[in-house]
Amino acid sequence: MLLRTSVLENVDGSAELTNGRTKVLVSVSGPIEPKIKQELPNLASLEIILRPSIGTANTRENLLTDKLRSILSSLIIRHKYPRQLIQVVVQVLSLETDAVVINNFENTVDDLKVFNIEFTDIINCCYFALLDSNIFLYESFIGVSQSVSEDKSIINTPELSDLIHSKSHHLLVFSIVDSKPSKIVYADSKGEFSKQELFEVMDNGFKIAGANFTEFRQLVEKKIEDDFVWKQEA
Amino acid sequence: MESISFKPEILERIIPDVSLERHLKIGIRSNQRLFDEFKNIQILSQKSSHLLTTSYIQNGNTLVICNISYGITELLGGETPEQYSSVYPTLSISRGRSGAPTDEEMNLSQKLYESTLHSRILPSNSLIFKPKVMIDDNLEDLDTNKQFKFNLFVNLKVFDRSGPLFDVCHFALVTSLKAVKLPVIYLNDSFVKLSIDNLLAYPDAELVPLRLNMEVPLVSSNFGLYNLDEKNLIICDLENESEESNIISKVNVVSDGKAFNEFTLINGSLLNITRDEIKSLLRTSKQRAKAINSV
Repeated sequence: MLLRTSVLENVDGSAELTNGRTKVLVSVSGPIEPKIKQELPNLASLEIILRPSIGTANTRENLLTDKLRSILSSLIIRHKYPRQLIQVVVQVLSLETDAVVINNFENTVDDLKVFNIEFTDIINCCYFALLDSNIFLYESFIGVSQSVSEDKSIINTPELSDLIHSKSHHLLVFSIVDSKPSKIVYADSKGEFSKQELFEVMDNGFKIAGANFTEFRQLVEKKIEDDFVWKQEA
Repeated sequence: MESISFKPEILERIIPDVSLERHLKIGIRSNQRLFDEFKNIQILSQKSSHLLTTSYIQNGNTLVICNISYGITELLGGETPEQYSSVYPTLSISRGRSGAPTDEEMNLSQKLYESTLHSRILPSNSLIFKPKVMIDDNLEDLDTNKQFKFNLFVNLKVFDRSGPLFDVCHFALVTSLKAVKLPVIYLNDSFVKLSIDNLLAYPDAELVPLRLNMEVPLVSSNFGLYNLDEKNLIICDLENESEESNIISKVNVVSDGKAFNEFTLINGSLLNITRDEIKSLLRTSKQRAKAINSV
């Protein structure tokens, strides 16, 4: 995973995350003045714009935006910014399915896109962009994806080919307290699975979220070190 | 200064969060249902013709009319369809106005599309066909390598909504799919070229039921989780604006009574949701699916 923060100059915070063939750029502007119809008397309103890597946004992006809004609105301390607007713009730069689009199998790609393979990276990139913008958060958060194959083995961070051949796939977002996963903020499981499989996936997700966040923490520490301009002389 | 008192239904409109909390504190819901009680859902009527399948579904006061029609596309050479297909839903919620679809309508349509595809209930093979040819009023097999595919278009109309709509729309879609019968498609001998434009549905031939990878209809159930006095309260089948907008931790489970096909959890109020609570939700949704399918 490759992360760059503060990549955009004219916004309050931004991050670019590259994970395999998926590359996502997120910008955060806020708190800024909202339009009158967006203004809420005691909360910040949240505007999320998601742009796909190829073509224009359609109902798929609309649903992803809705899911992202439900995740972010529970984690941002919106009471801190009454009557103001926080704007999050997500630009997907490249995707694993793009190669399929280029080969012109457009019908097939519609089916592949519903796996929403980039969504975990979008969530994680939003975390870094929000940190970069100094927006108050209740808790840190991390998204993890898993799939369960036909032989019931769990695959962490599955690729597109794993998802196509999987029996079920699962996206989990955990909040983080004291560098450890705390609560499930969001879960989206699809396919065919039993109660036992669902709990196994949750337990496994809990573990990998903890392990992945160690890497996140190192990235944040490095960012703070780089951003801190007043350094003590040796 | 005089105090003003409001009737419960007015209080629910002006301060829905306070109204909801007051109701829940005394152990009731504003819709008079129990916390673990679901609204009744039933198929009022269902009919199929060689052009259209129509179902009328009632859930509480909400009525959903689901029409499934079809179109035909040609499978191009080299194109290998995925093992499972989906339907193309469009949904409109009647509110006495017309215009562009709202975000809710778009999201519900996309959710239904994704849900059908991921549930793997519609095998692509059951939609692929080779057309027949009409020679002297008789249908005969056509010797061709060309293959065609039915695309199912679902049109849902919702009247008198009173809560989250995914459950009832999903039920309408799944039960209507069970009733779909596809016609025999033929090429009239007056046409020379085998193309989509020249294909016709034969109204007199017996309709073929759509083959689904689903023994019993999948049932979607929704739950709300509300923190009351440091305890999580599970509320089944949210209804009314006060519950829908103020209970922001929600769970949706799709089950056929044996396994699960979908589990969505949005923990909007960052509750500590325990394993036992999730188990309870899963058990309830399974029981509900079994109960609905046994009717």
